[in-house]
Order: sequence, then structure tokens, then C-alpha cells
Amino acid sequence: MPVLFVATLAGAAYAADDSARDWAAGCQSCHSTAGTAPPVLHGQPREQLIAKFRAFRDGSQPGTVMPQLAKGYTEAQIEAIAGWFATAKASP
Amino acid sequence: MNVFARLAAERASPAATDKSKTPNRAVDEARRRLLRAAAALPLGALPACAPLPRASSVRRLVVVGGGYGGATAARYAALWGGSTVSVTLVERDAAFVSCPLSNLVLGGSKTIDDITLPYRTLARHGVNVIHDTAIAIDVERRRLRLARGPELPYDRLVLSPGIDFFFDRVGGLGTDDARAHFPHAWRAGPQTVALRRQLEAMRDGGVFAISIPRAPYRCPPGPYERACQVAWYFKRAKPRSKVLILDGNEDVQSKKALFMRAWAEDYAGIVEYRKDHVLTDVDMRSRTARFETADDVKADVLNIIPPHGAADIARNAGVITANNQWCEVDFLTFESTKVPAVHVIGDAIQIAPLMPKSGHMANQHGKVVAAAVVAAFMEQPVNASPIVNNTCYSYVNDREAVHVASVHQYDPKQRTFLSVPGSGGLSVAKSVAEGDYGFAWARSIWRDMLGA
Repeated sequence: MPVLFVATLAGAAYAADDSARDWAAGCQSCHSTAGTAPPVLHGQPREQLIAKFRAFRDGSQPGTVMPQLAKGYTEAQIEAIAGWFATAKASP
Repeated sequence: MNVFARLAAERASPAATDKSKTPNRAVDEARRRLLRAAAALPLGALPACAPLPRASSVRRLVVVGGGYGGATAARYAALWGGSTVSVTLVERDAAFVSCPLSNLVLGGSKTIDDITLPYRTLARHGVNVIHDTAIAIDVERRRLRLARGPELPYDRLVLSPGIDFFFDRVGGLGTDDARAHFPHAWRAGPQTVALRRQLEAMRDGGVFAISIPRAPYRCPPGPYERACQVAWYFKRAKPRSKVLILDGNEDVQSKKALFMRAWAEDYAGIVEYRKDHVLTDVDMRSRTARFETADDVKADVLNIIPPHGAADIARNAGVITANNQWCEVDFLTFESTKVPAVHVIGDAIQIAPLMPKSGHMANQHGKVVAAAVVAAFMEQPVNASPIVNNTCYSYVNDREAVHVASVHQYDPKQRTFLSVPGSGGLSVAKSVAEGDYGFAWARSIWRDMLGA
């Protein structure tokens, strides 16, 4: 029953790109396109965003709020969020 | 014309009441999403599990309350739901007035206009805004009753109702006269302006006292920030005056060390903090506050934040389940644990551990509920791993602020959000830089929620 099998898979998991979209939405309270501080993340290169986030987390990049928030996300979540922002054109 | 009159006039103009849904990126987004879902499946599988909506029935989401939570939920549901969801936001007031930054209006460094935004921008993003008062919810027939307009049928309802006050728990606050005399200003708007006027009219050498209810209450650091703002005003304009903090709790509830330092260093001789002051009665004529155990306090301006809970519309819907005060929800979807198809977000909910009742947090709830409602409408599973964060700035004067931040990940075992160990924290010290970040936060989140 291949059809049923596929249907079950499709119904069981939340789409990965939707998870990234939801997590990235959490960042946009502060990082909307409203201004330059805090910076707009939309359209920034994925690797650059990941590097910046890791730097906040390990303390090599000083900051106020971000070093504290960065420690609340897993590596996989960071990569997903960075990937979402890299392909996002603008704030919703 | 003051800001409220101006916004009421705008609301009455044709441009502001245009309810037509404009084609927007949200629709494209939803189409892309459906196409992606279809493309990911073998052709033969499509008829068996296609998530395509029935063309004849657009799902109806009604959101009650256009604050940080509700406006966000409406906007993101329209964005993510696209053409499959019709989104109606019911909001009582003509304009959005931000509670965050409203203490700076009391201090005099901001005006009410600075923190007031119109709702008309939401229409551009596919949200139909109705200015009316929600008065009852028929949860069986799934209809929302309004004070003026016709009933609104819904498939799902998001309540972001904010708070209402238990005036009857404070003796002497029962009359309209008394309530006008003691503006709480714990809902920004005319109350904020009224309290500012009292401060301006107060003699130099007078006493401003603020009464804080028992936790949990809306905006844990808010009363302490307010004390700083009034002290900042007094220091410049009425230097012989005092600020008395009468806390119904046993200690400062948020940013304790940072506030204590401001009171000791910046406002020495002006601010005095008193714990364990559970208010029982007020007397309008003598401006006296009475407490369960502490001595009476007389003040020239007495700012009582009465005990409060989820707003009355939530009570009417039967979703207040905790301590007759707050609404318990399933944290994956923010659906009421009691009433199906009714979701509750923002200050009205029974919070998860260490989750503050803040505007930023309500905005975060709004996104989780929007994703969950859209998923339900598309008959898809919900996100099993939602994350919410909080960032909160408090101003100790007109320019310098301190922050608290946190990250909360959903824990499937405990079925709640848990603060991530090792994450989050506080400012080291007040700074102008963080004051600037706080103002940038406000501009950003207002844009995020209202599409301004």
C-alpha cells in the first residue's frame, strides 16, 4: 500500500521549512525591516548568519541581549533559522 | 484634536474602513506552500492526502483583541493562511496604544502620540479589522456576539483579550467616581494621560504612591519602571517630592538589582520601596491606602494597580480555568484546555514557568497560535517544537534602559514551555545604548504586529 504509506508520512511530520519559518518569526519581533538597529536579517548569507550567531553564543562577539538569547537555541535550530532568513526577501 | 479624536476621525473615513482584502504576498505564500506540498508527493498519492482546501469554504478565523498578541496572530494567520483563511480582528479601540514605553509618557519624555499607532495598516496585509466590542461567545454555535455589529461566525477563535480588573477586591474602588479618581494606567491610553495630569498638577513636596498587586500580574517590571519614570520627572520638576512603592509582594518581582541600584544611586531620597503591602481599602477623600498588615499610607497621587485577571470576555467564554483568574492552554496550539476551537494568548493565560506576561511574549504567542490555526485549517500536524523568546527593556530615566531576556522551548514530556538552562539574563548595568535598543525594539515590533 504505497499510497497509504506516503500519506502517513505526510501527515505525521510538520514540514521542516515551516518549522524554520515559525522559529524565524520569533526573531522578527526585534528583527523586522523597521530599522538598522537591530539589523535586518532578511537576505543575509546563511553562513554569515550562522557564524554571527555562534560568535554570540561562545562569547567572542560581545553584545547585550543576543549573547543571552543565542544560548537558548540548538545548532540545528540556528542552521534552520539562518537558512530561512537567507532566502527571505523582506519582512512579512 | 488630541490623538484619540484624530484616530476616531480616521476610523470613520472611507480609507480607514476599507475592508476589501487586497491581493498580497500572503496569498502567494499559501499557494507556494500548497504547491510544495503537492510537489513533494508522488502523483498517485495526491488524491489520498492532498491538503488543498475546499474551494467553497474558506476557513474563518476571528481574533478578539488587537494588542501585541491579537494583532500579531491576525497578521501572521493572514500571511501564512493566504487565500485559505479569512481573518477578522475585533478591536474595541480606534487606535493601538502601546503599554511598553507608556511609563515614559508618565515621566514626560514621551507623549501619548509617540506610542499610538493606527490599525489601518493591517488591512493591507489581508486582515479585516472591525472596531466593535466583543460581548459574548456562543461556543456551541461558534459565533461571536458584538456590541453593535452582527454576530461573527468562526471556525476558530483566538482570544487575546488582555486583562480586566477586580475592582471589588479593593474597598473604596467600587464607584465610577473612585475609578476616575485613581487611574490605574495599566492599560495605556486615556488612563495614562489622566495619571500624567495628576502628576503635573501635584505640588512640589508631594507624594506619589504606587500599589502593586500580588504576582502574577501584567508586566512584572512595569511598576518599578514607573517608579523610576515618576522619580525622574520629580527630580527635574518637583525635587522635594517622593515616590513610594507599595508592593503587594515580598520582594521586587523583576530586574531587582538593577532597579535597586537606580533607586539608591539616581533617586536617593526620592524613591522608597516597601514590601508586603497588600492593599485592602482606599479612601478617596483623604487619599489614604490601607493594607492587610502594614500601616496606612497617605499620598497626593495614589496609583493603584488593582488585582486583575484574564478579561471578562474570557470569563464569558468559560476559558478561565486557573484560580478563577487565568486561562489554561495547550502550549502547542494555545487552544483552551476547556473549550474546543477557542485559543487564548497574551497576558490572559496561565503562564508556563518563568514565562512573563509581556507584550513581547504576547507577540510570540501570536505567531505560535497563527501557525497552529493555519495548520489545523489545512488539516496538517502542528509544529511539535515551538520556541518563544522574550526581550524586555525598562527605562530608569528618559534615555537609559536595562533589559531582561529569555528563551523558552516546548517540552513534550511536561507539555509546557521551559526556559532553556544557561540562556537568558539581565543587563550588567543601565546604558544609553540599551535605551536606544529599546526604542528600536518598539519600532520593530510595532511594524511586525501592525505591518506599519
